[in-house]
Amino acid sequence: MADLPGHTTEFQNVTMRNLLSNSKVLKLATLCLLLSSATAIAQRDIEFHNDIVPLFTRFGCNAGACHGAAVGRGDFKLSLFGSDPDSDYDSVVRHLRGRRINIATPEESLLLLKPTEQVAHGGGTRFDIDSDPVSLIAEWIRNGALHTTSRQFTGILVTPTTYHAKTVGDTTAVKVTATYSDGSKRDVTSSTVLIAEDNTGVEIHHESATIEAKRRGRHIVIARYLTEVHPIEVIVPLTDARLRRSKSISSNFIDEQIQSRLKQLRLQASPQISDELYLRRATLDLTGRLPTAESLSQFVADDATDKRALLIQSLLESDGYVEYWTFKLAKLLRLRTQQHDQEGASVYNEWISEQLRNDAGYDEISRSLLVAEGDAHSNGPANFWRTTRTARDQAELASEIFMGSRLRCANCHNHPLDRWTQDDYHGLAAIFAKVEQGVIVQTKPNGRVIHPKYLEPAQPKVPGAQFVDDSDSNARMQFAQWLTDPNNPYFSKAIVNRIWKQLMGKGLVEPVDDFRSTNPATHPVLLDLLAKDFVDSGFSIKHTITRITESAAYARSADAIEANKFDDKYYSHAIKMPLEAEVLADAIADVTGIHEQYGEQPVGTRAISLLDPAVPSRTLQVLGRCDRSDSCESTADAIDGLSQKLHQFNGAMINDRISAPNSRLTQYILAGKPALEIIEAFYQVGLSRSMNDIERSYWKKLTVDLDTKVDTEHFLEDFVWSLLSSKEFGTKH
Amino acid sequence: MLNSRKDSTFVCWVICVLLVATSTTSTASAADSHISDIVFSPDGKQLIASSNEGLAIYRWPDLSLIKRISTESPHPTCLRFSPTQSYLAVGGGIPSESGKIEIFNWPTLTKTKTIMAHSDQIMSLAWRDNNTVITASLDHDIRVIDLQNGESKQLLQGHSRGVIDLCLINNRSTLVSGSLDQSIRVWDTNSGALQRTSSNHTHPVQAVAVAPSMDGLPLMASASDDRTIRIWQPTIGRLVRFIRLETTPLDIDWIDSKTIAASCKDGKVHLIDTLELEVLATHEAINGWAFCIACHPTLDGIAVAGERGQIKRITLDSETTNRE
Repeated sequence: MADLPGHTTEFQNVTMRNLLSNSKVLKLATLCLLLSSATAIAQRDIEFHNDIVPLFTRFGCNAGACHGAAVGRGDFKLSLFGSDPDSDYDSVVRHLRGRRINIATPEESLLLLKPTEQVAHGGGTRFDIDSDPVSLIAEWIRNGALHTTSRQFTGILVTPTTYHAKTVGDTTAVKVTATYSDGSKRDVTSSTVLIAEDNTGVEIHHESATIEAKRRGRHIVIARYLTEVHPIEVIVPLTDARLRRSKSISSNFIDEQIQSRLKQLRLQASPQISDELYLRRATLDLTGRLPTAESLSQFVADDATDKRALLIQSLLESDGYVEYWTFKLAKLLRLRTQQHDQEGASVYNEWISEQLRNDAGYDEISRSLLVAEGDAHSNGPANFWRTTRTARDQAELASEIFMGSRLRCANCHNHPLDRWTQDDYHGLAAIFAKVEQGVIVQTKPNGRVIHPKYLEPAQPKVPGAQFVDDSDSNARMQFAQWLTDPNNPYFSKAIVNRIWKQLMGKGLVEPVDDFRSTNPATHPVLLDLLAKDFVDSGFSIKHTITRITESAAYARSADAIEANKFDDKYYSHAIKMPLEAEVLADAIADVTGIHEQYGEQPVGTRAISLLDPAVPSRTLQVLGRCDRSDSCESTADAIDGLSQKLHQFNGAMINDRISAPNSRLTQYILAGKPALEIIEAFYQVGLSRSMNDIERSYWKKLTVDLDTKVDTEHFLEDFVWSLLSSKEFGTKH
Repeated sequence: MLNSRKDSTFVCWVICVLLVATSTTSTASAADSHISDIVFSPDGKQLIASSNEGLAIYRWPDLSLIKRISTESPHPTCLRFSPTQSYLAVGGGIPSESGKIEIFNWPTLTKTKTIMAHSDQIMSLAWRDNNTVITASLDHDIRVIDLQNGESKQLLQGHSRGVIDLCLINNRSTLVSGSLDQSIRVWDTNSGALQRTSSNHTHPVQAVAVAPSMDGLPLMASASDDRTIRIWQPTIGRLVRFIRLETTPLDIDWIDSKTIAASCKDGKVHLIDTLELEVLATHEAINGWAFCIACHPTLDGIAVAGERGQIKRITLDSETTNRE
């Protein structure tokens, strides 16, 4: 270098913020003053795990929208909600050669300059410069930014766990106590994040750590401290009404629990439904089809006091039950043809049917699926291993189906709202990686998945439980045995919740594949009792269906009354549910008498029997069928969507069938049935009831004015159209 | 990261070093601050280390502290001697605010110049000639700086995240940069044109280092958070081979034309045969992350440094050395 004059130069063309502004100097001076007076905090050891990480959570630094994102933010990554304090320590203290801390001059640490916005910070000001968090962090850095932890955090105690507010506006204080491995406890309320799941239902007053009921109903507040999340249930009666003592119809434990919750919320239950509606509801739920006119008249005429129980028993023994619940299980298992391989899907479907026909235990069914091997063309359950393409996908599928848990959230980071860790996710995938997924399903000893955190093959692990020896070829069996153990906390609850949803319209836990401590059941005791009852019955699906359908809650009217009109999840009245796409398509076919041909299937094939959910069908497409490539839990919107309604009102799906030469209506007309009789017949096959007096009088008045045969035919076509377009026809109610 | 030795020193070297019995000999602890970089003085008698506390000069090989020099940068991050070895460039700055170069006379260590070059910390620098320094910054940019007037002669843009390390090859006419964006980019230092980008690494790149000169195409190595060390022929963009370590390398330096020393997150130093792709020896070095490593100019050991001011000397016990 020829000449280097001894002075400082600056680029003209580079924007710099290097010179401290006067205000910043003042701020730094304030900070220095604060730090020198922070000796009180320094009286005890400040620990990264137990003191610093909670601040990141408390102030949102490690939230998913900020540095807790999978890739971090601004090249600074923290584990989501502090789930991995060790990696957080690396990010804060070690990454980029210690860029974020300055041990020599703590107040100049980026870790402080950013959140106090002394330098530009995308996340804005997180702490004030003279705040306790700043003092604490600075003192920790001054002490050497150490990683030492004298005691292991073991959990939190939250009070209250349930708050019964008398009315809107009532408040209660929350207290959170951390517990440690040495037996010590500490009040960590001020470092705990309280989050209302519904801000309009509950307001959090963070400064005082109190929660205020803002709306009637049941609300959930999540208390989060470090890796622990606990729900706080806030209950405000939905009405101020005095409850009328209702005559107990059933001593079923289901009704006890439902009634107990209704009492808490001061909700009056709707009355029981008629025999006609019970028949329709039960037949749709158990067989996916409408009751025939004959079964309707027989059931109504039957005087037996136990005729409803006998009906359920009869339906459960029918082929319709096997066919419909095979369809239900097929949807759950995402059974579909793989690469046009109809044979495998057919064998799989038949195997499921066989299990239901024999009322095989659900534990046995699940074990068979999980340990299946062999030729998928001859061994039905082996097709379970063809549902997905990778071990990770299979782990996600299995956890959602059998555990009702979204383990997939733990792929990139420990689950933020549940106990699942990356070790759990990749450990289960490692078990499944030892399966060759193809037409021939077999063990693949060298199969493995790479743990993204360690960049090493993940060690096989039963979720939430033990690691499995990597060389153990029987790892799948270990997982299956753990899963189907009567004491497994997930398995039975997941399936009884699904059955409950099918019959009651809404799961005790919603969504049904999102069980977690922060998404508690609306009726946790009921869920426990149902699961226990299910286990005690030998994991019998039929038993649980019987148990639920014999309850008074199941037989409740879908019409809300004044005293329960705001209830949408406590079963004070039944929930009106749109019929599934396939069930509705079959119902339209049954009522009109005209069946759609699905692909190359014979005419008359029911939509619920189709093996391939992708078989071309405009009707099913419009009605919003699930193609089973993903979970089918969220198709309600599609089923009740605008396009369906337009297609239903204006399209060929209904109109062309009503007047077809061999339609039910045409046959009735050709047979010379009087118009009013035809209307009554359609009421019975379509709505599963007879006309009431008002309706009969109404239709009679209209039909007597019809002058010509053509007028009558057109009138009846319009009538059938209106019936098939009605909400009463298209819903389970 | 470090390569202060003259390229000519290594010309025609073929060193086969069997590093089976190396041993550590000395340890120094400067302060609690992390040591971000180290460099040997041209004569190999001193080791300079940078940290939040400025520069610290140690005697080699006993690592006794000679003196401390303050820097304007609160975070001096990288150290390089000029080709004539009469200047020491110190790169650093204020995180998220500025990237600064400080030029010191050697051996007097009097500061001759300070240049603001970036809007974020400088993580690495290289001397193209006695009047030109190339800097890599966390602001994603690389700049070619004219030390005479302190102006930026070229702005090399292309990395989408911070640039962590640089090295020059081809008689300093070609620049190789490694970045947090996982890529390695090759630039023409005369025109500033990007020649090629290699995206083989699956995690951020932590270090790049050119191999001692030998016949044939230039050879370099890169170390990444994906735990691999990859050997390249950057002028043709060819990945020659790679080795995956059990831990994450943070810095690398070539011991000879076929052996690399890597300092790692587990505080260990791995000596790697780049032809056979095997770890020849592993040495416990420091507690915590070993941020930087430097091979002595005459192979009188290796210096490794990192967390909380720890510096350690590792002795190379060579059984066979052939030099042409």
